[in-house]
Amino acid sequence: MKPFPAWIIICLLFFCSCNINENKLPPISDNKASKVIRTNCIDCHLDYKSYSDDDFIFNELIIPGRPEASFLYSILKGASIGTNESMPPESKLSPEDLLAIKNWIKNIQKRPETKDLLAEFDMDSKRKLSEVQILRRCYGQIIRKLIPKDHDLVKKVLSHQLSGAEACIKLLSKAKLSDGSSVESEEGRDILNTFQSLHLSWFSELNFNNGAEEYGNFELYDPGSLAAYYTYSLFNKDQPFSKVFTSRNAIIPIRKSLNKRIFLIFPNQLIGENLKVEDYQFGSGEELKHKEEHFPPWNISSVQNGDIYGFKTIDLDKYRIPIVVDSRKSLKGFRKQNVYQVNSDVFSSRGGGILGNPIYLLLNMKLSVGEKSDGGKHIPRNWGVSLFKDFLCRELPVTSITMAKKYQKKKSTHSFRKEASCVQCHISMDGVSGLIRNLEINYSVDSGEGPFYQTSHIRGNSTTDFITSPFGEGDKEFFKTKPTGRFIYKATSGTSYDKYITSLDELGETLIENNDLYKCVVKRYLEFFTGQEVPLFNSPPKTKQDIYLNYLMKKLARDFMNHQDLNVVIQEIFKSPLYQDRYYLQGM
Amino acid sequence: MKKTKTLVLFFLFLNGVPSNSKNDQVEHFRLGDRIYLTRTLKGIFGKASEPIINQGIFNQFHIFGAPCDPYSQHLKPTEKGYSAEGGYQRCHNKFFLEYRTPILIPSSPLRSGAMIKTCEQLVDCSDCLEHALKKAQVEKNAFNISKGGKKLYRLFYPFRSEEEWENLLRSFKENQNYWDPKKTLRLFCISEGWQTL
Repeated sequence: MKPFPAWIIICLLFFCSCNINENKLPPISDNKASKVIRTNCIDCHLDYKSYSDDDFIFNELIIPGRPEASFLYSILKGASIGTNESMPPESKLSPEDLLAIKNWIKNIQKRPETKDLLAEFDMDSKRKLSEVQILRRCYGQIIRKLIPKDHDLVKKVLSHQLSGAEACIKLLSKAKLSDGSSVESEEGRDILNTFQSLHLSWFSELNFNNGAEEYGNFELYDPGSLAAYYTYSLFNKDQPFSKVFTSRNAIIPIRKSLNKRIFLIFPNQLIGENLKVEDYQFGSGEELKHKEEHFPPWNISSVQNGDIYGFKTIDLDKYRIPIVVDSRKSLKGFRKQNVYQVNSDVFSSRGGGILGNPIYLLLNMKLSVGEKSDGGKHIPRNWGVSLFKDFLCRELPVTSITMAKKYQKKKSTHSFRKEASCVQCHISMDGVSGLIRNLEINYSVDSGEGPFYQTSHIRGNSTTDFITSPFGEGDKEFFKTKPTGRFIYKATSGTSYDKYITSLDELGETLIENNDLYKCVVKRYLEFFTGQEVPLFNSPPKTKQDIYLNYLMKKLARDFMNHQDLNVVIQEIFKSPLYQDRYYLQGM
Repeated sequence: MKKTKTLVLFFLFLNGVPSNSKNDQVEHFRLGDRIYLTRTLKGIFGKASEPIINQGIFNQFHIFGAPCDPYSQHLKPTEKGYSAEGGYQRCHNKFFLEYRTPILIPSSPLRSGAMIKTCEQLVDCSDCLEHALKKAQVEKNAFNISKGGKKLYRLFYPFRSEEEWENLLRSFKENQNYWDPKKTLRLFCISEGWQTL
């Protein structure tokens, strides 16, 4: 008999090996459960193929010994009881398969707490920074200078009175604040300005000029006030992090300058000149000249200039100024009936702390002047997009296609309500945006020196108790209906939310109960302090650094949710082996 | 050729990679931003260095990172117009580009190039060089790499161990017999180790 040619044997071996690999069971401790996962999950969740028990635990899919509390079991069980977020999609597990999963989770022994894993971390002593080098590192990062050799803290570290991490924590305390107080030491101010700058970089939109000439807003509002929520909470122990999303008070930076400000903040790029503050008086434009007695001009002197020395919660009455607002799209043909006086505080939050802060709304709503929400094409959905990005570090879509199908309207006239892939993004952004359906943006009249510098303001329309869905076709009375919405979100842990929300305050409360809010902050701090990318989503860890970064992020986020103290998060980073390793555990 | 070899050696070594570490996977150094670099270099090279550092580093926000703050204006009326004072965070130009500059920007050939150019200009500026030598207490005319080199090294690396200096000194001697203060200072200045936090 003629032997097979060698190439056929090689090919057969190759295909066999591929096949073996394809059929390989996930290396978990229970063979039956492994088969269930391979048959039902791996087609979509390829990662599971290489997951061990520890990987499932690490990725928060299961809790050892507690199947009922485990995410994996609950969604698989969901398929049998018909809940929204159930797996596998459009089929269900047999009772025997479900039992196999349950028994597997039940029989897994509890693992040591994350804390123990971190404490037992074996550092390479050759890579560990000396105590004074740890101080040099944190000083360079938060003060942004090379620490002087004769610095008090250097002396204390070299004489073993303080460890490097303790010295870093002491340094951080130099920026301690209370309401309205200033940080007097230069180092304290440097720290304050570094963190303010870092926190401001967490916001996706800082430009008020959203297509119209709204440069005047830069004179009334300092976008740094958004970062101030975080910076103030970081350095004021009486300001728990939750207040960022619950407080009605606005916080503004206290700035001090060597000289009085001469020019407007935003240079006039059209005429290529800086414009003098003294030339601009709002409400004194041509259109209002004959009506000045009714609508007195006002100066835009709200923002301060200079370096940041501290923060203060705003004196609400001070900014209760009778701004004349014109909601027309054109400045021509001024009519008195189009004018109203805001006569309300221009800084007060509409609820949910920073979420309803007028600065955040003006920067992110991106509606045209006078445009009203209709629940279809016109809705301030950009605010929703920013919200997921700015506070949860997530880009849309943030929910599953299964959830999208629930809200899909196959007969809709809008493609974004009809196609599941569009709906997947729209249900999240439109869902939350329903909460600000009653708000619109209005102009002030011009500044008296040409049309380039105007301010815009948030106007709240009065609403009824009539409830309508934020996923409609478009209704011109939509903005008058009760501002309600839905928080539709799939967390990084896999938990899905589809919650009916009735106010921005409630949305704020919902966010502060969501672990992803804390993961997002911790991720950003870790990235700032280490220069390493910290993924929010779990992927099978490849290196010691991956494992450690992921554990640390989750542990710090969990603890942070309990203690609500941003300062403690940073202190824990300073104390971690990650921070004390010369290369932040790279290459291990 | 020799110069290039020496340069490569310094770039590698001064990043502080210990000889026995698995450094082949060390990819992302956490580098200091333009504010850190500007303040450190001005501290070493003195007031005369300001125009060079401002031009070569501080104004290159897109290369070195750190956003500006447009509200940090300190302008003083002068006879000729206005002069900018104080406020290291103030915006210099390109309002939104500078305002939205990332906090951290990773290492890049552009960054290395900008550092080389700036450091060369700094050591070519006699007042700047004088300031650095005075600060390190180094005698220009009686320079010795073992003693003087160490003092210059400490300007940039005040807390590195003696062992690291000894290793470095060995490399210095192996690569070139004669080192002058200018050349030595230039190499320390362009090395990435002190920029790494």
